[in-house]
Amino acid sequence: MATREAGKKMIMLKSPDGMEFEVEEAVAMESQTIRKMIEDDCADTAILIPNINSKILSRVIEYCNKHVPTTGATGAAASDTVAPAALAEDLKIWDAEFIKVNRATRFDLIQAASYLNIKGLLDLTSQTTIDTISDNSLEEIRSFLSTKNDYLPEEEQTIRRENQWAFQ
Amino acid sequence: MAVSKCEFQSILGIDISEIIPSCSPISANFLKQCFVSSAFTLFPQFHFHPFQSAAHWAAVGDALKKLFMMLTCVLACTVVLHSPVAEHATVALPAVDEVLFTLATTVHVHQLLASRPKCSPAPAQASKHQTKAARRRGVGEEQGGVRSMDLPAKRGWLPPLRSTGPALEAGGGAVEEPGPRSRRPTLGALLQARVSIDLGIHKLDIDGDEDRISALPDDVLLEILERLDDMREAVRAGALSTRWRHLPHRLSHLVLDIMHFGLDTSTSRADLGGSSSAVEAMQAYTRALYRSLSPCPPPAGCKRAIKTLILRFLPVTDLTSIGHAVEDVVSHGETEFLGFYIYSPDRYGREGIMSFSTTCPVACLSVAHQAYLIDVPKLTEVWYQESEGHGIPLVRFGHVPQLRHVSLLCRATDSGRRLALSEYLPGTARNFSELHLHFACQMIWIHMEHPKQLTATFRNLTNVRKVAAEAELH
Repeated sequence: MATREAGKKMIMLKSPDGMEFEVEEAVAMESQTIRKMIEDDCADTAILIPNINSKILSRVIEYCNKHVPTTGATGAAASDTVAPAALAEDLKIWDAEFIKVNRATRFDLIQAASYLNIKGLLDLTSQTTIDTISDNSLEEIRSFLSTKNDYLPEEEQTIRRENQWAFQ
Repeated sequence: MAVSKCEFQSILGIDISEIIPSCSPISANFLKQCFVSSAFTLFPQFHFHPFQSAAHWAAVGDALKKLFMMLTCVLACTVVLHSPVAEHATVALPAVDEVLFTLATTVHVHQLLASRPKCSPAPAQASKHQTKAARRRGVGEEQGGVRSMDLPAKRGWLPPLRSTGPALEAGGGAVEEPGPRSRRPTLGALLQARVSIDLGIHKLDIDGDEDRISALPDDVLLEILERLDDMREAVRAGALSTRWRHLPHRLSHLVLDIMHFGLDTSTSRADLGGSSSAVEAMQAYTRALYRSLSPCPPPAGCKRAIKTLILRFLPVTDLTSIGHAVEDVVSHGETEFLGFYIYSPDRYGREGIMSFSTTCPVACLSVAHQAYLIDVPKLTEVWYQESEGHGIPLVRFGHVPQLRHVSLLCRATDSGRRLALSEYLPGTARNFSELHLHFACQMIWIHMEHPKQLTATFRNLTNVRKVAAEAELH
């Protein structure tokens, strides 16, 4: 790619609370949303990332930095020197460490990953929630997610009856 | 591969010991089992036979974390590490003790050293671990073959209350036995512990009251629901609260499998066709399909594009209503993938069912049942798989001008009937370019045909793959 050959083109990302983050273009393009903006030439000045505060945005950038393929900060082509399997294992451990955050942060990260369209990050951040939903009864899910059941009893009965196949 | 084993025990006189033969990685199911039987566990005890890698320990830690979200009354927790193999003695469990420290007032970690002769290096390595752990936590003791660490949870950010919680002593020798009742703390101590646990939880925001997830926008929730393996779970989620009600009606990837409709899976495929339960299941299936495709219930009126529709069903009822439903979906022009898996025992007649799809670009057929693609002008690819050899082509092509790719997996017939290639191929496809033939390593006989019959079809063929051990092309 021409932009990469030309050295490290930097992109400025701005959070709504006024913080600015200068990141390599390749890192920013881990986000499909930003990639599209760059490709559409909408990224001449700082890109404002709405709804994502600086704390979350810095975490997202941290993730993208780690996951950007090929040449990293060291300048060495990672795939040539390190076995892909070891690299993947390393990333997995890093991911596991990365996602050790409280629930509020996790949901913020989910939202950010969704808006910025970063598939890997969304997979990572939503896995706990997916596990919760897939392996538990409704009551349990509600208690884990702190979701209050605001259905009238008869409403819930109707839903259960109409979707009986899913409740078997 | 090391044998992994987890045991989960309560020490409150309730016998809920669960022994799961293998938890590598620890599954959510395992957790659920633990949860179901241990909702009121105050003093859980975990026995772990260490796994091989740090990643496994991370899994254990995560599993425990989830478990602790459910166990809101845990007061003290005991973790016992069995170390059957020398190298495992050095395993650290950062994720595990992180969690235990956070949530339980007192944590006991015992490391049972291997007593088998071949594991002689274990004590040395264990000491190393012990020293490291002891340095970190300032506590360490050794009793015979058991190393025991009583770890009163003290972290800088923890509320001071925590350190005054009941310090439950668990002597090293008592690891294998549930704590006697005489050790149960007084009510005052229990309440105090409860308070400190609540504070800890609050600090972690694990069990806060705020419903963070429901505050996420629809699109994000849908992305989560669409990552579920089983569509039933997404549909169930609609009953969580009114916030979730319309979400199942906005899913863009639908997979409906007749096997989820109360069919007795022990029934052999061959018997499915005739049984009345199969008919009932198909009726429920059709209703569920219509319901899944129905628009959002008011007042939520919302847009929806169905990108993937995969239906697995039994052709035991009138399928035209399913056909209409599918036609309705594809008529919106947003469907990228349509898949049909038609379970069918051979004895159950043959009907054409594929007469409904007119606009879909891709279809995936898996049939034990004859299908005739009469008029599918936009169809570009067909994967086609026979479950049993019939000796006659089960998919026949009508008007499929855009078809470019056909992939066939079929078993040859017992009778040794010769295959006529032209029967399997789309005669009307002008751009037909890719043909995959897979005969499951059976010998096949190809019937000689006049070249003129095939040249029109093969004119643009660029890629042929044939998988047969001894295909004899005559």
